[in-house]
Amino acid sequence: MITLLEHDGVRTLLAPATGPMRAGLVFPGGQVSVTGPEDEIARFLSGHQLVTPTSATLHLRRYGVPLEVTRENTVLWIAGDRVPPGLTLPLPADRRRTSPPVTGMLPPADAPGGYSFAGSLGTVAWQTVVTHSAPAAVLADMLAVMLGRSFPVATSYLPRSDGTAIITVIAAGSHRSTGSDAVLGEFIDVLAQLRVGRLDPADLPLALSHPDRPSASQPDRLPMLAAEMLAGLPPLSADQFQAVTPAAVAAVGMASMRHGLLLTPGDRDASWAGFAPAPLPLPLPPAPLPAGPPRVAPALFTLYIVLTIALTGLLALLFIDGDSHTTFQRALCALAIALTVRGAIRAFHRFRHA
Amino acid sequence: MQPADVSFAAAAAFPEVAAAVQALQIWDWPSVRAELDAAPPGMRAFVVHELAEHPEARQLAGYAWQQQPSDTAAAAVLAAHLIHTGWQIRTGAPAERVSPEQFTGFHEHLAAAEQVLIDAAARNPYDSAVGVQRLLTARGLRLGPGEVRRRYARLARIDAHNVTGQLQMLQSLCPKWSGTWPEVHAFARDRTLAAPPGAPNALLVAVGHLEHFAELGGGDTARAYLRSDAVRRELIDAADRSVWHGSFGREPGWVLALNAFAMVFLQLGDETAATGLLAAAAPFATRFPWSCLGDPAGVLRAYRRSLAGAAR
Repeated sequence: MITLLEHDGVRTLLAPATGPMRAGLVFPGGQVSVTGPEDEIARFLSGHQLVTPTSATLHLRRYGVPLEVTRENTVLWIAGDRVPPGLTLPLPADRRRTSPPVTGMLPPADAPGGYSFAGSLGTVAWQTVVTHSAPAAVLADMLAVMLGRSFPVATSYLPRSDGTAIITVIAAGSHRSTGSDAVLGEFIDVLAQLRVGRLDPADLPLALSHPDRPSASQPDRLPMLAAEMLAGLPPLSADQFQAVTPAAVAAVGMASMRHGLLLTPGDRDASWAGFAPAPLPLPLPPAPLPAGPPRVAPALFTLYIVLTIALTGLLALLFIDGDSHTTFQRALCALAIALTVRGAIRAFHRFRHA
Repeated sequence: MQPADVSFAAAAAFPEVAAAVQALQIWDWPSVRAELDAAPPGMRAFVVHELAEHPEARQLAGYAWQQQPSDTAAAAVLAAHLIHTGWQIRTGAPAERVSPEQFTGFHEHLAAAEQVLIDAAARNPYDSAVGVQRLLTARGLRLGPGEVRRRYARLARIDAHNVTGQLQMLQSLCPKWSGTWPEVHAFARDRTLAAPPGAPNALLVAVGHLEHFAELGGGDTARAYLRSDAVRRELIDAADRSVWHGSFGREPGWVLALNAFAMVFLQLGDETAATGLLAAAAPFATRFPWSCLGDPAGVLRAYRRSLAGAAR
């Protein structure tokens, strides 16, 4: 039995499960999940940096707008008895948004391999847009099987409200054990297999056995259900997955290439492999000014101005009709007036910039 | 045997190469392909590598590949020719003596070849000829040492003892391509011991040390390096395992093995050994390693003359 709750304003899918608790968050640019004791899950999801630099970079390059994770555009899922105590999701509020248009930023590439651009790190990743379907969801897992033989990869399949889905494959820790040059080479080889439609049919059962299929138990299905809920789409059925053939997956793969976006390590490009350089994102609106010193309360400021004027007036009075005053006393008064006026001007500037 | 008899053409020493070259020259792609498809993986890769220099390769293999992208023999021959042409533009000169225009032409040809090869490797991951040519593009395009190793590992899964591929890998490990001498010699030793006794793969040990010898200038210092106990021992062991072994045959690499070890023993001062090896190879020869000492035909003729004189 799956229950829909709300936690910290975030829609939450809960299904009782045996074994250690599993939980995750799905948001427009990706997903995170974690397994373990309740307190560990609470700590991980509460403090986790949801948007990794890689998913933020890919999103910006594809849509031209920064990726934002908000309360309304996130779904929490928990395979366990309850929301773990101590789990807080202090996400900013927003309205529920429709997904940005897919072709807005990246038209299908002329190059058969799609687009590529160099990132600032050693990470290799690939992302594409497909029509949301069971074969497309299987393709994502097929990529995980193919690339996962050489190095660990994180794959995500995220349906979107416009009926498309985003497939993202990120090589985890690619710059450590295997050189990032070899990881890039392997990505390019696997993508070429996709482009020519040569997927190994023996990999299909492996991809189909991914735990979040409709035929799986309810807790196992939660990540995909959460993603479908986020997109506002009806869940894909077990029958739809059963009907997936290698040819159908290959067809999705071939169609996906020209929408592909390959992120190469900072010191490498992929022009030698026939990838088109990804167009640069449009200039962003200027970022808000960094937070300055705390604002001076307007009331306090008014009081300061009034007192300054009063004091200046008093000193001026003494200075003007004090025949009996010595030159030293007059100079002292002039200095006092100057300092007061200077203080007022400074306070005014500080207030204006705060 | 006249000392003047020097034949560098692989077609002369290998009937498989001769048949493929002949078919290529009469514009008969089906026969070229039949020859390549009938060859075991080691010979297939070797023949394709030898077809690269023939100008017919570009149009004939290019057309065959366009007609049938799944014909990875055509892809490999086309790519090999593009790589060969690219390298002719670049020349073998040190990078600082290659002009920017030469580098542009070189890279354009290698990238074009690489894209043909990526496609071919995706369509047929078991083509040894494609695997070998991808080692050349990875080196020329400087795709990185990790990528070269990945490609070699992929080739080794198809054909564990592919001499043509191992020679390319050895080049990539040389310091002139950002490798190190310990890597060169370790690879040579490792692949020699992995190959069956009598196989030509031990030529890697000779070639590795001759490359090292050439980098040391080929003079007295270089000779002292070759004559050091450890290196000399390793070279003799490698010869025992290949050119002096009873089951040494006529697999791809046999001419190079005899020529490389002949040069080695000349430098070690063992003229009897060198004479025997040169006689076993004659009239066939390879430009390397004689090219390290000047015009290879001239160098080889001079050595043969002096060895014949010494023997008299």
